[in-house]
Amino acid sequence: MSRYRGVLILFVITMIFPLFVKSHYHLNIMIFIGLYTILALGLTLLLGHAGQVSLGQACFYGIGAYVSGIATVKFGMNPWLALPIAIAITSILAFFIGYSTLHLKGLYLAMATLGVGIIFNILFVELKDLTGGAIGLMDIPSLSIGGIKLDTDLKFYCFVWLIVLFIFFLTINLVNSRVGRGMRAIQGNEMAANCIGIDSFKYKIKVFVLSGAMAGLSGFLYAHFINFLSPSVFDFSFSILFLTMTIVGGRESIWGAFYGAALLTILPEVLRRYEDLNVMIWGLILVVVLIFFNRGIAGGLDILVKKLESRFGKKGEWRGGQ
Amino acid sequence: MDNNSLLIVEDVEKIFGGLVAINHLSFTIDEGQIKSIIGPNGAGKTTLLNLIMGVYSPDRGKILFDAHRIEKLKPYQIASFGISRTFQTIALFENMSVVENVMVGRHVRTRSEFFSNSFLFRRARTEENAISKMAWEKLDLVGLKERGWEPAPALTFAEQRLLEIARALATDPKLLLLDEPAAGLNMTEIKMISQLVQKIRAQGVTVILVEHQMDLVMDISDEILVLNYGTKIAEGKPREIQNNPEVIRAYLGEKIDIAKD
Repeated sequence: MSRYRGVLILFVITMIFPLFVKSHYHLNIMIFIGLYTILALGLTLLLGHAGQVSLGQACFYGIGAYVSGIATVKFGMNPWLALPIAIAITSILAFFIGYSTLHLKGLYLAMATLGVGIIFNILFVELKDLTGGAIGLMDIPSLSIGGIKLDTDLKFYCFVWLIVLFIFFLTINLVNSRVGRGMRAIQGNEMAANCIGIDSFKYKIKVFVLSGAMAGLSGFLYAHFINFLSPSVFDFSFSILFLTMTIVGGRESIWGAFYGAALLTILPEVLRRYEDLNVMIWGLILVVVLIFFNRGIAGGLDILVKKLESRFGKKGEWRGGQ
Repeated sequence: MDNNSLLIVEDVEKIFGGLVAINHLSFTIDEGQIKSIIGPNGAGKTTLLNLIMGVYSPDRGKILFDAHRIEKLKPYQIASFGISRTFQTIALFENMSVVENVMVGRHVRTRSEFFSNSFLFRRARTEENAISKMAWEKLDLVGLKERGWEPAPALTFAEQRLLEIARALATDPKLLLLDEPAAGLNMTEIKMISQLVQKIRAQGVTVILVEHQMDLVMDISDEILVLNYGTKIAEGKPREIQNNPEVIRAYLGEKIDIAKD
């Protein structure tokens, strides 16, 4: 059960947190860390495990949010009914986008997904009848579970983090399975992966759809938390932000998604007091992290733990993707 | 042509640009044989393995494996029919541990997918246990059991070659393609490879061995195929090949008097 230790630690931390910190502001930051962790986790699987880059995650985030927003506002649907529809539509679009772009590699794939992201952002603005255009989509209903309305920050905080933890549980199972090894094989050596019987193209598409669906889920939660959608939240700069979270956090480790989401959400808030200097300091910290830990924060912590373990003469089981 | 052969290569040709890499090549391999393919550098040996494995498809000709036409298939499909390979330049998954490298070889013989693995369905867990058990057996066979939980790049060069063989065996191949498994190894290590290949054959796996190390080739091959400029210049038992004047000419050039052993 040692593989779930991280989930347990995170569970304790996140459930203790609101006992001490009750401010609207801090809970909001934590909710966003949760939303971005789900998104970054999808990207970790795609980039860190299957070795495929995507600069279009903000578009899946947006599709999940808009589909659910439109279904509830324009068609009066229950949000829980809108959820499977939002995930299904995000997945189907991710399938077609993946199918047409995943034969590209590296920078070309990044460019293609970036282009797709930009196209969808234009659609969010221009399909005014559905999305409300640049003005935005308002009055999206909050979620409620069994009569309890998730209308306060605290309730939504608990709800989001329970989902994040459950997704971590599922992802840990996935990366430690036949499927997880298949993904890492494609990143490790695609030719060798093909020669031992892995259909790498099919696999890449599956992981791409999964990462899109996770972004869609995150978008759904966002829409029903903020109750308002505007296209600017889903533009390509957010795709770059999500990719940065994944890389700075450590793309080979699933915990990197959490570290990256936490750092890149908290940092701008902390740096806000430095006004003009804040972007510079922000950039500097990212560069320093990547120079010293080229496997991101998770990679840095890994080295630290190894050093401590060897000092105490312990030797752990080494697995890829932990 | 013997239709009971495991692998039948029939009039295969492969051209890269203007270079004829494989020229109207035909040969067969019977089940349980160790067949070596030798020839000077650039003779087309690795190209031939790539054609059998489906990395390239031939410009003409047929390849039959186990009575299936495979020359148009992709590597992952051919792997599922029961052909597996190692690589001349080591191609391990460096982002995984030693045992995971073998476990991933089981991919083609297992079925559980994203959903059943995430939610730990019983079927997926049973399969995972079987994969793990098999992987440790294969590591035991090649003598790497003690190193299972180390990262694959932590192994020595010779150990990495052994790990490649273990990974290839994990796919349950009927035919194993070994691309210069002894290259860069010392005499003790070569002897280990030699014993291992014979052990693998004894388990019923047919082997194609591409190798420059002549002691190894002569020692364990049932038959040898000699290529030069993509053309077959000789085929036969090790003793016949050793004394074949055409082979000697290809290796050493003409007009040289050979001192026979």
